[in-house]
Amino acid sequence: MRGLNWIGTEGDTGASGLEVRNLSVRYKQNASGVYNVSNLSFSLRPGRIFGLAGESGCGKSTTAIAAIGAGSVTTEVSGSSFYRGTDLLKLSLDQKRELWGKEISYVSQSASLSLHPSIPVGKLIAHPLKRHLNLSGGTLRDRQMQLLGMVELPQDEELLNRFTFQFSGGQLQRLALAVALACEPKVVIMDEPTTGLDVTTQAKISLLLKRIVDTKDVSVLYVSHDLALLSNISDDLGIMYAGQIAEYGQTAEVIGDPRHPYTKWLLGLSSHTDDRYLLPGIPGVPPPHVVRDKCSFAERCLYVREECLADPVELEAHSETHMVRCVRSRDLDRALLPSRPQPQAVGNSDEILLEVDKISVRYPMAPRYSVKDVSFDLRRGQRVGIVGESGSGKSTVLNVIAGLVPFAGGKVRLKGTTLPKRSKDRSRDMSKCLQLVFQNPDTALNPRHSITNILLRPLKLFRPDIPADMRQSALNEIMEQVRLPIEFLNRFPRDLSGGQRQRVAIARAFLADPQVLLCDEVTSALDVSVQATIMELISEMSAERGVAVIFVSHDLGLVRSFASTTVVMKDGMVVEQRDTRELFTAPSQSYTRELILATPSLGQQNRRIDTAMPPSDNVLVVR
Amino acid sequence: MVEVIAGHQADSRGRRIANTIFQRIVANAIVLLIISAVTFALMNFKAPEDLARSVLGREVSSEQIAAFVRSNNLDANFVERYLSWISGVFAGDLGTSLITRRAVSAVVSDAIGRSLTVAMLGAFLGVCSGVLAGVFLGVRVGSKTDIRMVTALLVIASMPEFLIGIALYMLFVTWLGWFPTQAAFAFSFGSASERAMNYILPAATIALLLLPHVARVTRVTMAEAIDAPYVVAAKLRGLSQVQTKWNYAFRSAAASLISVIGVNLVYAISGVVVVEYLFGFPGVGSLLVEAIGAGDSVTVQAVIMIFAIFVIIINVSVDIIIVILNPRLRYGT
Amino acid sequence: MRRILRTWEGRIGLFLVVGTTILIAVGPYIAPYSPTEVGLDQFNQSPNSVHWLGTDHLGRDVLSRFLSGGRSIIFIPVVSVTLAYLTAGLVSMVAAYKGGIFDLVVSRIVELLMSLPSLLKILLMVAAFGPSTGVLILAITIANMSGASRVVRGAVLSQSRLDYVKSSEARGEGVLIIVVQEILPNIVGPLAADYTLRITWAIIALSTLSFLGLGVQPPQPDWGLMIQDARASIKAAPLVAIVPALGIAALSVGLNLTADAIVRWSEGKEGST
Repeated sequence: MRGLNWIGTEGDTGASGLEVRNLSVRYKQNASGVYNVSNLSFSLRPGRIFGLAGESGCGKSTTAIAAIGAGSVTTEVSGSSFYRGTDLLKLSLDQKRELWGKEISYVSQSASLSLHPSIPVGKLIAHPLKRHLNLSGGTLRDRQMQLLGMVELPQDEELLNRFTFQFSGGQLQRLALAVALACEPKVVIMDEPTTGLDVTTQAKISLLLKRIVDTKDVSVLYVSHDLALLSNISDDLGIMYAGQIAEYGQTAEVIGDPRHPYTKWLLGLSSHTDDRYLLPGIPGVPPPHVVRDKCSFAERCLYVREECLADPVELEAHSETHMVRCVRSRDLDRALLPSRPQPQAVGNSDEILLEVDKISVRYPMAPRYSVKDVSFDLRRGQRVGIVGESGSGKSTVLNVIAGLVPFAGGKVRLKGTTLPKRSKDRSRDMSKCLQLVFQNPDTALNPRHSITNILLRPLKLFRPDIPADMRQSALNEIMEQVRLPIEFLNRFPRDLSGGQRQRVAIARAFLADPQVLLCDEVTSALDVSVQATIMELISEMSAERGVAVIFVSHDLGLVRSFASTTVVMKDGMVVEQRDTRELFTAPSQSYTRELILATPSLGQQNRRIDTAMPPSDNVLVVR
Repeated sequence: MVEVIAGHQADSRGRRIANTIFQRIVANAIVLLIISAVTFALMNFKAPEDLARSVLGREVSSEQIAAFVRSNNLDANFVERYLSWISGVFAGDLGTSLITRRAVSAVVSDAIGRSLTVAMLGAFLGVCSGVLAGVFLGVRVGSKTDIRMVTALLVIASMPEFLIGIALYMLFVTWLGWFPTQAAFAFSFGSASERAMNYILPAATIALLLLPHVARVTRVTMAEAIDAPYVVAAKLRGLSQVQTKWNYAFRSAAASLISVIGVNLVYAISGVVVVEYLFGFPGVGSLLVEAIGAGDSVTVQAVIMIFAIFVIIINVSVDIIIVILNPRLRYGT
Repeated sequence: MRRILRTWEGRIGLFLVVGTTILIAVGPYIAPYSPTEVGLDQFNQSPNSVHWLGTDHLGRDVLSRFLSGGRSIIFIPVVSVTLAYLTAGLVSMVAAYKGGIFDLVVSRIVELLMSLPSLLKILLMVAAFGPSTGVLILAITIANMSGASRVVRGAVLSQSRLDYVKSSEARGEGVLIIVVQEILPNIVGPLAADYTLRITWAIIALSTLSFLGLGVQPPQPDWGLMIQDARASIKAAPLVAIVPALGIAALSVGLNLTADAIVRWSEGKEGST
């Protein structure tokens, strides 16, 4: 394969990086010849971060684990992974155990999952130190303190006696880093280490990472689905699709001049800056396994030609530092992606539909309020976005409006009438007006009900105007509107993908003919390419029917492109609430500014974060 | 600078555990009281004459019944009888048997030592072998050894205890003749070593009773624990096989294991009853069965109370161990 | 059901259970002799052409006693466990979902019930009321209520905070509808497994009781009782004990295997969501 050692200088294999060559992984349960990852090659060099990007199922995590020889009993790994001249994949488990934790480290996705909940964190740090470096006593303690300092945690002995449940998410991830870096490894593999963390925490940890990499000359593989984040911190970038690398090269080049249609689309979806135009999601779903006989993206590609479907496509060098797997890479430089104008809301925008009046929620035994004195209005056809980090109370506000929090304080008025706090006490018309769509498509639909059953419930309950013999056609109609095949009506949720399930949830909501749609992080559990489809759907359907939408999300970009008014929440209270465009271009509150700065946007290095953030991770929360 | 929020930090670990234990003991004491009331009610709701009749038989005169009622204090009213009984229990006096007219406490204190020995021996053997077997299988789930052993365990687990006991009996007593047939005989007249032999089979039966259940649960929890992300992470840090298996995986398995072991031990208490009866072993278990058959309500009440106390001891011990193993519980989360 | 049959446990388990049940149901009708007819001159015979399995110490035909002795073993356990689930199970389902004081009270009562091992509870009841069929059913039902309650509670709690339930709540649907239509179909797996296991245990308990002389009373044919009777003459006529023992074992092993298969099946289903 051409261009093997293109990153860094020639003859660098003596240096302690990782050279992965022709890595292939297949699950033993697959039919023979069916692979999950195929012929992957990349290099990790000291002092450089290699970002591996892709959506769920593309094989990036599988690659990361396989690259250090840690495949499981269910997988078959072939190829090689050279570290200091030795092929990791040929070593015995004992030999690998010598290297793991000492010279090669792995940081997994959720820190709280990689740290044992019943062992004090000090011991967790100490174990690899004792095992690999034989440290004990004073030297051990010194090293532990040193590590705490390195990850910017207070160097306090007390801290070492605490357990994981006594730390916040950000602190835990720092601790996980400390454990991984304890023996000063030369290679560090990170699998989505900041996913699930708040945006501000994520920014700080990414910065920390970069500092460590620079000072210690470590080679890093950073796996993530967040292209914007990777564009900020990685030096080299690889885009994975269906178990193969679609494009890779130096980050600046890949971001600045993307050549693979998938990369272009992904980049377009990762930057929601324009609220006037909508980039639709990529139609279809990615193939579940490696596709060998043609281009794996061909079926979803806008620029597909006959040659794409005829032969397998190889990685070719576009420049010395840029490889692409596409036969049309040369002629697609300024190719335009389809976008359509945002549908505008319809209806009288002066009429106030919903008034949220000083609602407060305090759970029994909780130290503080989850929601305090939150007020805002919703007009007919309006779109209000509520943003905030975890714990800000934004989802709780929606739950109160929906009647799921009976002990809330304050009032919610619908068209002037105060709503009873408990959904059971509300009249059918009231419930019909407010429909809720949830975050997690896995739990939002009853797994034992068929799609027809699921959709019939709101139909029977809220649409007595539709007689029994017309119900089937109503169902068919809504399935078409959410672009799902009518055959799915007889299927069960487990037969559908996440995006498809979410579409059923949306259909269920709209079927009731509501006036207000409450969306609770409806895209957070979905891949970027599917998110766009869902947003499109919500946009179109709400505009068509004049339905007002309250859209809760932690994703600023999404809210910015969708809502006309944005409400920013922190710790249960409203920080700022204005017209979206004004809020994002000239935020009046410092917290809003913090949030906006912390959100990774394509191609910018997060240098501004340093000055904007207070070092709040140094607070030791004792529970 | 470290800023401390919320002030639970000051409480020492010891104090926390002591608090939890105290709470549990109080709760259990209340339960014990309720059990005593229910037991007493169940055993004594019949009219005193009926009680007399069930002990003495049908062919008795009314004078004999009256005499029986008087001598056993059955003519006092219900609440009085309960109170006098329960206060007697606290003082160590378990009443007088309706049949043998001996103090129940005397009979019980003889028997209880023996029963305890058998039970503890059997429990210790059963739990240890169960745990070891479970850990052994847990790390090899799906392998051939695993499947074969799991089937064997399943078969044993499906057996009623008396069948296991009978199987052992037939094998070792009838067929091989290693052990004496009449345990009670040995206790009254035999030497120390003869008496000791009599403990072995009942204890072994109890162990076999516990072994499959403990092994099965350990196996499942171990298999889950081995796959837990923080155990996999430990492996990826190069920590040794032993360290990963015991310090990481088993530690998290242990907490949920202990509750199940506790439940099984409680069940084993009732197993003791059957086993003793089967082997003719003179412990509290056979005492209970005889008493029920004979209609001796006083003895029945007493033995049930004793069993209840042991159940409580087991439950409280399990609670204590759980608190020690699970740091989260110490902080009142 | 098909999936259960696919596993080897399911196949063997169901085979054993169904086989034994048929034997039990049909047995009394095909028994060659009366199970209680005594023939003191023919006691402890080995198997011969007249008595295929020999006779016991009272001269009764072992085969006939075996064929007739299974009824009690199945009837009482099934009825009791079903009753336990219908009462305690239903109450716990609603209590676990609703939470609040109702749930607290029910939980405390259940804890109370659990403070004695089940066998002891049964012994206590039998000691108080005598070993009639009605008492046995009541005793076994009560002994199972706390266990059934816990399993149901755990299963309901695993579902009750999920979004699809919240979705139903947001529509204003009532407690009973939510518990029965939404939650129940999703917890059938673990409940079925536990139900089967409890029947196994109840069978064991009942045969143990008979063995202790406190269950089914002589001269009724009952497998547990047969084993107890046979103990004294075990060297002379081992078959008398072995045959009913095999019967009990077949039933419990079969039920256990079936329960395992059910657990496997229900986990597989949930895992694919």
